[in-house]
Amino acid sequence: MSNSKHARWLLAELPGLLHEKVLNQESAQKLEAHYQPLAMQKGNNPIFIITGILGALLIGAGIISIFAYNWDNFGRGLRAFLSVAPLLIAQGFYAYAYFKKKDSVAWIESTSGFLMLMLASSIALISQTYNIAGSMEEFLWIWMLLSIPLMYLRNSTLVTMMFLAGISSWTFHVPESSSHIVRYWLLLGAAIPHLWMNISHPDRRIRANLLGWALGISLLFSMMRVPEWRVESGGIIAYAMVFGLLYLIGRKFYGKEEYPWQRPFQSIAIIGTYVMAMFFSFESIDFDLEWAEILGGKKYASWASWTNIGVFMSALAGMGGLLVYHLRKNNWLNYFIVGFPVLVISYLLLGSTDTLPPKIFMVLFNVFLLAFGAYYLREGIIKERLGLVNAGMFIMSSLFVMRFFDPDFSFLVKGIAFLLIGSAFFGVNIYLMKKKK
Amino acid sequence: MYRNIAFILTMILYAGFPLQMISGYESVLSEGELHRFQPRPIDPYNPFKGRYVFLQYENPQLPYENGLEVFEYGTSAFISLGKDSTGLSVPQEIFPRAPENGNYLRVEINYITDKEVGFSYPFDEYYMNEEMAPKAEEAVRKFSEWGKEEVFVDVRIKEGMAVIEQLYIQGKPIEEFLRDAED
Repeated sequence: MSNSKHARWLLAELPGLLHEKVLNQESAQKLEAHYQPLAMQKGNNPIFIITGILGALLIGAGIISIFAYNWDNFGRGLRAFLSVAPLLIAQGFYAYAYFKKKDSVAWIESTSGFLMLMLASSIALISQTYNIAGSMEEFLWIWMLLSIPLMYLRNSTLVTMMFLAGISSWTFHVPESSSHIVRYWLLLGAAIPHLWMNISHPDRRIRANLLGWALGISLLFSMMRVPEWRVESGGIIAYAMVFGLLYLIGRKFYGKEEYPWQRPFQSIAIIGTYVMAMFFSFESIDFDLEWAEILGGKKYASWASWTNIGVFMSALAGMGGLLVYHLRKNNWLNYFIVGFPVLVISYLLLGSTDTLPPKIFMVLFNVFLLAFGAYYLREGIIKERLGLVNAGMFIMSSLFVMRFFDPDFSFLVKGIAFLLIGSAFFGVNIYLMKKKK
Repeated sequence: MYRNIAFILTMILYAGFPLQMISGYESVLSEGELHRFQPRPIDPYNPFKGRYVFLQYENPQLPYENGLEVFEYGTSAFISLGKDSTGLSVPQEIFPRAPENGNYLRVEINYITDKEVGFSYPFDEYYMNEEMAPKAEEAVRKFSEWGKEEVFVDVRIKEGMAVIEQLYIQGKPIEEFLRDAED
């Protein structure tokens, strides 16, 4: 299916093709006549899409604010009617776009976003008209559920991004330690087909990018709430798994992208791994893993804990499958990122028993970070990519700074370590300079 | 074709859902039992809903043995209501599920001990014009102080749902009271 971008490209090629005598004048004119109308279609021009979306969102927000002023001069009946009217109008616009403008991304995205906002507005206004004090949690739940069809009817990326933000926000409004927070997985599941269809699509790279960042960031937030953090290891494992899984998925779908900002899953995985490793480079674990609580939940009901465990198992299976996939295809993988969840899980399992002294793990994470940084440094030098060199330098220097100020290590240990590493740096420097000559 | 069917169903859902909300609340107002409660207030700002007067009630709770085994914090419970000597409605009994007979109100559980269950009423917000809300809040605070107790809220309750009918100060609806106070 051709779109206006392709048509414009073809039209731009015509003069060159004519000149090279690939086409004659008549053919060129026929092609131009045929593709000109498609090229002129503005609906897929990014500027129109963005201004359309912004316009719709601002109008939506404006309507919400004006109505929030509270028209108590009107009777209840009129207020109830006015609560529903904007929604009906939004439905009208959406229906128009759905039937008449289905190829225009600007129309589809802006009417979808507008309709989603008007849904929220009408529910909120009706509650206000009848003095119904619903909780933010209930409101978000209903709003998100109602919005699900909008993600799929005309493949709206904007709705999906708002949905991902909304469900993460919902997790922050569920009371602490309420078991039903694990319903989050159902909500996330509702978005997965949309995410899959767009992220795996070879042509929809802009959508894939936006959705990738939206999913990654929303997971970063929701993992603060959905696992039962009273059982700390649950939350820690959740993050480690998110990073590992996102990385492996990212290597499949964003593997061909050039810049880090075009690879949301990998970027989040790498930064997340770094932050977690830095955190553990300070901490030495010394707690008991209470298996009864991990499996059955502390304040969570056991069905909730088991739901989380089920998700964890599926994620683990997913990681296994993706690993096999990548190995079969001989795809390059960053084994630091892939191995990190394994490191974390072993750390939690072994650290809680008294088989090894806790400090060993602290050292292990420091070694991990050192190796991680050195890896990027080396890659950057070999491939002559400054970005990688900088990443490596950043990881290693931040590690050194942290250890320098870390009271857990004695001055003597720090002194010796820094002298050795400093000498190693000098050594590498000299070696490289000699190589260049 | 299926997509068009899904589209139509979705549009029906989107139009129907708010209309169903409205008809539900209207039915509570026209057919619900009238109950009177006495609040004490504050006034915060809810960006999605404009200004509202926050109504607080005297720590409602009801005795219940072994509540921890039956109820869960953050979920709902159901209470039956009776009237005291002054005509104000008071909670009588609390249940984990809606009772078969009699009118009942759905409440949110605040705390559970093995002797009692504390809950909050769902009618704790009364919406007002942005400019009037702070004045309303002040008036309600002033007139609900000990000794004065001239603030009441009338609520219609039907099958668990509650809708505020009116907020009164010194026997007048609050909007009227504030208008008269300005003159």
